[in-house]
Amino acid sequence: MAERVAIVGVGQTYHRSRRPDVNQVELMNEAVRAALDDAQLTLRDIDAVVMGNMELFEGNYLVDMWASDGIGSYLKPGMKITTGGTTGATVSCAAFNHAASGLFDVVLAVAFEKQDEGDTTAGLNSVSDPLWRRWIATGAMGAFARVGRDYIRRTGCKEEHAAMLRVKADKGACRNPYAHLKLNLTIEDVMNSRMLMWPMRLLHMCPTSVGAAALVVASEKRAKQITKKPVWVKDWVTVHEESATTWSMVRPGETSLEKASRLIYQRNGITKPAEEIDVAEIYEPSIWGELAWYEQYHFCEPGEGWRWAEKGVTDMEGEFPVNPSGGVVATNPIGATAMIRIVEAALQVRGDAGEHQVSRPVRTAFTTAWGGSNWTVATLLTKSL
Amino acid sequence: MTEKPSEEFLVMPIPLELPFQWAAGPYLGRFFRELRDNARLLANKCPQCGRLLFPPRQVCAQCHVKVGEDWVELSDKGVVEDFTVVVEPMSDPSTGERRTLPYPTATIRLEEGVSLIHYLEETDSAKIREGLKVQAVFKPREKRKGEMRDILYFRIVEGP
Repeated sequence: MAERVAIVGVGQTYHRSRRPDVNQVELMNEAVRAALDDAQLTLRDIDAVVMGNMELFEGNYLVDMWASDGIGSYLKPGMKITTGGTTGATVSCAAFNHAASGLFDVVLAVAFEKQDEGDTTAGLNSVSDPLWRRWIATGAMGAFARVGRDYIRRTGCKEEHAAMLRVKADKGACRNPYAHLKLNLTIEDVMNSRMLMWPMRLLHMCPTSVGAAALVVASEKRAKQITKKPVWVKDWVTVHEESATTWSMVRPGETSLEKASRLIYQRNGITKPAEEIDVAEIYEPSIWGELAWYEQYHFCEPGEGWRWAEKGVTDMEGEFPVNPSGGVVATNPIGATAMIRIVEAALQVRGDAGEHQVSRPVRTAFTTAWGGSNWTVATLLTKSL
Repeated sequence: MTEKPSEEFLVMPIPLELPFQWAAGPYLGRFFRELRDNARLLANKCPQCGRLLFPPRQVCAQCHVKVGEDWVELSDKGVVEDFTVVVEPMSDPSTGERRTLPYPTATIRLEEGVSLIHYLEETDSAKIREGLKVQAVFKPREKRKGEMRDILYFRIVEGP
């Protein structure tokens, strides 16, 4: 890569079920203002603007046609990107690429979702192959019920272990001022929540949130001028799965989660991820994804994830904290969700996460996004170059 | 303007209706014709890695080669690889119609090793297990249209 890049400003909205008080553009604007304030910059400092959402959920296919006043893109270069659940991470990567190319010094990335304005499961089902399996699609719930069933069958995990991780997520969310669901959950609350499709219960699944996030990204030279605490974007990677017609998250063979994390570790000399990475913000639309994916990200040995849940390894105060923000099961404004992973990881690296700052000192953070466009995005953020 | 702004937030309903029509193409098209006309399931075979492509298609994504016309007829029998019973109200995204609850969906591995997702006839989750042997039940010829729903569901024929 030509230029090294850093995150010099982050922002997000308070995430809610409904926001009838603002329209889509006004929602984006809240996150943009927050990120510019955090960077102590104005729109005059921004050279390009990249934005995205999951357009099917609002039924608004070229939202960037309306958004220039809210995101500040008037007479500036940039683009809109839609890649489903990974949108926020893909938009972030596009901003990193813009700055790394040397063509732009300071780039603004904006992502949002206003799920109170459409039918998310209907929208999500319509990304299934229209002739082969759209007719039977059951959205993200069906996909993650399958992940949970496979994990239980393969590892001997019990439903209690999913509940333990869900309670861990809630503890983080309750300390995170921006999180959507703050429920003060007990294991029993999770175990008794409504069954959607076995083993998936309502509280195992992410909520439908409304919210936006933004990042200000700068080239090395500008980053050092802008802030004393740049968060260096050490590396980023995207890996595709095979076509969605044959797609199954439980199929044998290397998944995009495994490949993306393996690649980024290899390229950065990481051999023991759980020791060398200080905090992870992973994309888990269901708590079953978090349980099953610890091993796919090579954090632990196969089948060890539920034992980690028992031991509290990934708690905020644990040896290897995962999703101290409360994660996606607490907050999921879809287009913005993957960017929130990067925003939260950057706050952890800066030491600015407040009440949900992890106990372990953070020098290196790892984030992922998974889902739409059938791929995994992974990023590595560091405190020093 | 000195009056106090209203606290009423207006929300505008947009009842969108967008009809589409999708071409199946020569490979998936042949699969659907065989399903409609002869109640047969077809796959085609990658000349390089030898795996069966199901649904049939033009290119093997793993080998990046043209797959061509090496067609294989598949058995209509298989085993339940995994399943769930959906109890949450859901719409068919192609028609908007509400599905009848509860309904079981399963990944079924056909005898040749390829899998598909479809309905099971049995709706009692206590009677469904991984490994059950199942067989496709097709709609009668006059009701088949050349689509996945030409298979009505899979019926349990034998326990594991």
